[in-house]
This record gives sequence, structure tokens and C-alpha cells, in this order.
Amino acid sequence: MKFRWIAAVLIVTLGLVAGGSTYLCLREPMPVAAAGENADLLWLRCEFALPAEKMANIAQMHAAFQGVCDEHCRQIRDARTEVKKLRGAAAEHCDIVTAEAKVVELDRICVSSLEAHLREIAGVIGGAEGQRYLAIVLPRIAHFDHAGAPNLDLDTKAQTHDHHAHH
Amino acid sequence: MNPNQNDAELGPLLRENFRVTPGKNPAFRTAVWARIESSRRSPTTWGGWLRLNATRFALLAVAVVTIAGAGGGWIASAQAEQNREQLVQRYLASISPHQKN
Repeated sequence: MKFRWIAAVLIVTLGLVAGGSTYLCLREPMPVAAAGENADLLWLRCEFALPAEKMANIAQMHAAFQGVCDEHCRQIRDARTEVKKLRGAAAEHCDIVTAEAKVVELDRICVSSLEAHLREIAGVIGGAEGQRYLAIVLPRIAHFDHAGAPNLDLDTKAQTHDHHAHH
Repeated sequence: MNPNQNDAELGPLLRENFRVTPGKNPAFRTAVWARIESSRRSPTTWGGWLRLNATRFALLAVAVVTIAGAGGGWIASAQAEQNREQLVQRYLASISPHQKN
């Protein structure tokens, strides 16, 4: 009976060692942004192992697109305010419909410019990796709802887009 | 108490008064041999026990190591996937913070 217990302890220890070492060998710690690196672009660097030159290029495009995004946000915000104002003032139905159509059109422009931006990034990444990038991001932006509140799941990601909260 | 061990009356007296009639146990021999066999087979050292149960021990050890290894690998890959997803979400949110998940 005593030997059975020794065997059981030995087997459990073997299991723990095997499980622990497999975990330690296969685990990938959360990457950390280097000093001066844009943490939002960390995924691109880690996933596609991009060289510094391409990363710098993408960072520039990313920053430039944020300006475009800001402008779209402002236009959408203004158009929605206009729709609200017209509804509040009980304006003509055709005026309200026109204003709503403008909101829809601005939303469409916003989505298509976002998609174009992603395709440009894929071009910089290049080749099969660029296609893989699109395969990852395009299905996800298909679920974007530009009327939604900013995603606050992560504490830092909305910092550069605080004004979007007014949408 | 009588200290004299060669009391001449003792023998006849015992024969007269102490009669033992044990019941017959047909399984007695079998039981004795079973105990002898059992004590011969049960090892007294850990090495002896391991030699006797080598196959069972090895099979169990291999099964436990395989399952634990697979479990450790699964946890590691699930965690890596979770980290990756977090980074993807962060990237997408930095492009457009209006996503609804």
C-alpha cells in the first residue's frame, strides 16, 4: 500500500513537471512596446515581424489616417446633430430624410476610407503576409458600427480619439 | 503451584481431564499456502514493487505525462491567442474606436 502511494506521488510529480515545462516552453509572454514605439502598432510588429523601416512607414500612415478619421468623425457628428435638430424642430419629412441620407453616406465614406487605409497598410506589409493581414482585419471591421460608443475595453487605445466620443 | 515437573500423577491426570477435539477445516492447507505465496510475492522494497508493476506504472506515467503535457501546451496556446487578440483589438480600436464587439 505504501509503495502505491509513492508511485502515485511520483506520477503526479511527473505530470506536473511535464505540464509545467510544456507550458513554459510554449507560452508567449505579452509583448511590450519599446521606448518610443506606438503601442497600438505592437501587434503589427509582433505578428508580421516587420522591419523598422516598414514599421516607421506604417506608423506614419497610421498617424495620417487618424487625421482623416477625425475629419470623418466631425462630419458624421455634425450630420447627426443636424438630423436631431430637424427632428426636434418637426421639420419637413423630406428634409429629415435628406439629412439621414447624408449621415448614411458619410458612414459609407468612413468605412470605405478605413478599408482603403487597411489595404494600403497591407501593401506596405506586402505579399502573402499583406493578404494575411487583410484576412485578419477586414472581417473584424465588417462588424464596426460607427454609431457605437468608443470601445473602452483597453485603457489607452482611445486616447488619440477622445473627440470621437461626441459621435 | 507444584514445582515438581516430573510429578507421576500429572500425566494420567491430564490425559483424563483435557481432551482436545479440534474441528476439521478443509481449507486450512489452501489458506496456509495462499499466505505463503502472498508473502513471497509482495515485495519489501520500492524497487521490487516497481519491477513487479513496471508495465502498469509505465503505462500510467506515459498517460499522465501525455495528458499533462497536452494540457500545459493548450493553456499556453490559449493564453498566447488571448494576448494576440488583445493586441489586434487594440490596433483596430486605435484606427476606429467605434467598433462594437
